[in-house]
Amino acid sequence: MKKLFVNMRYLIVPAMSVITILGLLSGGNYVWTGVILFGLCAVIDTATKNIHLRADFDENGNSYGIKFFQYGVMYLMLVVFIALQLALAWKIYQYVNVTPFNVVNAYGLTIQNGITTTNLIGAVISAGLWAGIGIIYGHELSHNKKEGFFISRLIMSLSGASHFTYAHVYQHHLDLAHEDDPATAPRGRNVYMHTWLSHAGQGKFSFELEKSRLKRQGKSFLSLDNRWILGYLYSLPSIILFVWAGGLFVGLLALLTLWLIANFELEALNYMGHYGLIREKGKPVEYRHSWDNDSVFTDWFFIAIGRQADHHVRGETYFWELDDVKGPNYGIGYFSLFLITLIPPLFRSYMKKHLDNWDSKYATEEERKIAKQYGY
Amino acid sequence: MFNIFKKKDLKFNVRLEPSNKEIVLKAGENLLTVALAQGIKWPHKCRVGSCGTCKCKVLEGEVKPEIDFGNVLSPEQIKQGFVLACKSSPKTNLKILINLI
Amino acid sequence: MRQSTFLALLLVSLWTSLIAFALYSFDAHLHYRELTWAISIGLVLIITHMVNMTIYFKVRGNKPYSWNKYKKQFDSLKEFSERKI
Repeated sequence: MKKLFVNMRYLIVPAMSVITILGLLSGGNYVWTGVILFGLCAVIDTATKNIHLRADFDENGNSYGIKFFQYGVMYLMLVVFIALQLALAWKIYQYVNVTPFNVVNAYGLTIQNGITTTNLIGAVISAGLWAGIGIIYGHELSHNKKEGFFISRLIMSLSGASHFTYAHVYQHHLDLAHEDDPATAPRGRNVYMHTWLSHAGQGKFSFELEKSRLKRQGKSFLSLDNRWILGYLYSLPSIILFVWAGGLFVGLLALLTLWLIANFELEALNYMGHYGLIREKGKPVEYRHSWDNDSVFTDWFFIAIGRQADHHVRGETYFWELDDVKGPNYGIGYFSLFLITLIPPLFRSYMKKHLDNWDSKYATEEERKIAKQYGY
Repeated sequence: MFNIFKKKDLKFNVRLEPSNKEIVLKAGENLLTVALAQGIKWPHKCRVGSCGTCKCKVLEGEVKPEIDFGNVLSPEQIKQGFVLACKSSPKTNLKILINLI
Repeated sequence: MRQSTFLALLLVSLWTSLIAFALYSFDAHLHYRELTWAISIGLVLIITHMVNMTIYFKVRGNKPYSWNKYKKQFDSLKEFSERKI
């Protein structure tokens, strides 16, 4: 029973993604389902912020997680996120075609054809919010062998961020909490600026990585051996789909909005995971170089991505085995913190006590000297 | 992906040279994780297969790679049998060359 | 605004406008429902994006990622020493 529970509790995102897709397909005001679910998650996350659970192991020290099942779900999520884009493209198609409003019943669903401009906006936001959550699977699979790594690239390519898979493993994990890591936000930077700089910085890393690798191999940068270029080509089907469905204005605008929302969520996770933390160059990554957000709903929803401290020290560990390591902790979940980050002065004010605490209780003398140069 | 069909209690002996230390791993267990848990001072840093600090040479036996070693190790190193311990699990008994700290 | 930021924005805008004008000139906005047109437009758009990112990387270099701009400018030594650490 415990084994079943431990494995099922990580199915919140798959379930809510499917409900969002059904909402898009149902049409009418149901297209806002994704937005409503996101809001519901924020409420639940805030309400359960004081519940913290440890990783679960049986009396023999074996994890309850079933690798085959969890990886099967992650691989399947690629299909779910593709279906999400197809559902949205269908509504865009109807909008551009000015499909008359009518109600049909198909496959047990009551489907409202046609869509208003307001509801199209709702559909795009719904899809964007849940496409952005795909990062959690893109992230987990980036730490895996060939097929898992490739699936990660494809999941991230749905948001135009295929470079993430390389940059996360080969840059972020090495340069964490240092200026060399674009995914680490220094004190004083807001989440909006960070979204662009982290996205571009990781893209630049992937660009430079391929430039030097191909040069070493005597191959041309402009070739299909270039994984930076390949990453963008993986995004081509999404672009073609939205261009075909909605044209160069509505279709493209919808896709860009979806990508903007999804990438904002991705970089907001990076932002929250390491904001303001400092590591001296060359020193090992330790628990104190990451913020933990491991309240129960955050932990189950984000498949333990909030256990950043343990993940960065024990990167080889499966997500269901990551634990509370008494690292720096915000004390609230990701949804709650995300809402705070949206108002930069509020976030900086919220972070003041956390950073002061980090400086005095976690930082080394050298890290404190570096911290002194910055505000909050 | 089909590890579910393998016997989970299969055990493998891993001998480390030149220190002559020996550790025992179960099928699917991570080489570096188990070595560190048993107090072996295996050089390591990132533990995600991106820095190469934990690289070792497989003298006998076979490992199951958890990621593509080609992103960190050169083709020559891979041909010589080098692997990244943080992203390897045993497929057979192993004899490994590693300079411990 | 920094000179390199302005230059990057200018080049990106020029390149994107050029592509937009070219697509418009070829009536791409009227043919997007034909599959070959949709694929071609998609290719043009992704190449445009890659060129834009390359322009940004080359013109701005490592400057945007520097943490220097977030360093506090202390008015006096007193304020520096009063930092609560």
